Amino acid sequence: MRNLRIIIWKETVHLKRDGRSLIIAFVLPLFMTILYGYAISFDLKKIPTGIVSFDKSVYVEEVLLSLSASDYFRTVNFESTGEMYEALSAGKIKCGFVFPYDFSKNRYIKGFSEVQILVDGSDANLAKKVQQTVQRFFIESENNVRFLYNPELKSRNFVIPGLIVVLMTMLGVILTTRSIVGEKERGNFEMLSTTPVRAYIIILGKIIPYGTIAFINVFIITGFSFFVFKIPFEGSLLSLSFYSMLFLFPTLSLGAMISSYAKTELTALTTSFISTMLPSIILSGFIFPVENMPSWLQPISALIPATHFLKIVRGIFLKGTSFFPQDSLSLFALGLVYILISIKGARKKIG
Amino acid sequence: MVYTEMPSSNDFIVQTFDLSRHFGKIKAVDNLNLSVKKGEIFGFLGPNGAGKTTTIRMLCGILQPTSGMAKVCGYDIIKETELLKSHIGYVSQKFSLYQDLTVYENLYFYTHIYDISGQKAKDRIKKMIELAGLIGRENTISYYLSGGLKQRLALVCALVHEPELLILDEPTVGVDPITRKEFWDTLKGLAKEGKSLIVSTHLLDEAYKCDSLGFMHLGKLVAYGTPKELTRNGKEPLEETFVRLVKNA
Repeated sequence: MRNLRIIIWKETVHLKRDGRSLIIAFVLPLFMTILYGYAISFDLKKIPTGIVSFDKSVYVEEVLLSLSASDYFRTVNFESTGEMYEALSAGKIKCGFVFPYDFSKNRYIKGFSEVQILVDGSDANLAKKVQQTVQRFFIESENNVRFLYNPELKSRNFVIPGLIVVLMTMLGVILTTRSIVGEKERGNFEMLSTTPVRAYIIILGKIIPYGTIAFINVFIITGFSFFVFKIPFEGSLLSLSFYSMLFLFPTLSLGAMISSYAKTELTALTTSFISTMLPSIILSGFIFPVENMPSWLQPISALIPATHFLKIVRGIFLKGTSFFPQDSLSLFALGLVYILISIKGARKKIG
Repeated sequence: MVYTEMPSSNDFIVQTFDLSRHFGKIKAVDNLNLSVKKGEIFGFLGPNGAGKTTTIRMLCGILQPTSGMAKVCGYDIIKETELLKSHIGYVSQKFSLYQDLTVYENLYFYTHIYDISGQKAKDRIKKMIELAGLIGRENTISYYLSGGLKQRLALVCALVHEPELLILDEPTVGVDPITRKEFWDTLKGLAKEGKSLIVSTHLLDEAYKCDSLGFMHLGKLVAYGTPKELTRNGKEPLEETFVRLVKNA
């Protein structure tokens, strides 16, 4: 165990002198938080919207007023549908509403009325968002739907907590593999293996400092998102710490697993990027909901620690929940599997 | 042949018995029987791919043999690797230094890795800095040292725990002749103090500086003896001896 201390000491000296690692460790996370917080918003505001109304009733006037008063739409009036089509194809507007002549009549007689909505589908992502926004607008105004936990449905509230997960994965896996495999490549590992210090002590000595950095970053980002981005934090810091540590177990084991098989730093970086970073961004539910994935992909997403931690982090931030028995168990089980594979890999290397 | 009890002798620092290591179908080391006497410099010669490095890795306890046995410093290389490792020092082809650590930090790290701490560690580090001729350079980042000094630092890092046996795998690759000579003077000095050394090399002028030589080819030991014996009492240049050995093998 005394050996462990000296390896941790050495690792901190490396870190102190390696500007690039320091930037990855402390500057990059903050930079990404700011970037995601300000620049990347999935919310649409002021969608340029064309309006054609064949119904000149007061009711339509009211609807139009609330449309243009809402933050979602910026309305432009057209005399005919033809004119509106032209504007749509020229890209001047992204969607258009056509109110039929019997709009208000149906409303009073049938109890509901229909409006034709045209959405520019050339950008499928945007079209989907426009559709959702339109639906949300009508649901909110017509019915009494309440969105719990994130009432404004702000994507920032849901992206930034998720970013913690992505950044922790990045720091945990990339910094650890970079350091272990780099040492292997330079021949230091060979020298160390001729000393009495055991392989797992070396790995542990490298995991602890980088795990600590990832852990510290959780609080930096949490603080930043709370004070700067005013993202609600309903849960407790204690449960955030606990689950962060639980999440570090499979994440760092994954890093150790990659390092025990990769021979060069380049292989290690590429492997860790493809096997951890990409899935934790794409498959974990960070951006695309797991529920939307094809059924064969969903079990794969469950193998990624980020998927589970993402649910936990969003739960802590937005709902204030502190018990996640199923996800905790998954994280623990995944960690166990990864660490066993990496020990096997390390043994193979020595044997 | 299966050894139930390992024969051993106090005169030898290394003894291998039918030591083999195969990588798939390749017999990197094939039934090697080698003895290295205590207190001498043993030169391990052979062309690239002869099996020198594989043998050295097994002797260091970092590679398991496929079959056969070996004793290094009196320890079984299979069963007593931990004990073995604290009695040997290893210098690899690459300088196994942490280039971003200072001279002092490198030595500090290795002394503590060998569980030496406190005042004992301080004394040992001081001694090693003297031995390497690095007085006044303690706080220099290793990266900025010259090739020769880096190599001396790598050497003393492997000596911090005062090992009985020092194993050097082609330590002078890419080093200029003057630095090489100085390095060998240091090695000779260590042998004089009673340390045993195994040096693998393919530089023939270095071979003459060894007390005894072993020549490996295709995983087998094809010749063994003092430089004088191998060169027919010095009548044949060592270079020709090797060409002869490789052709006959």
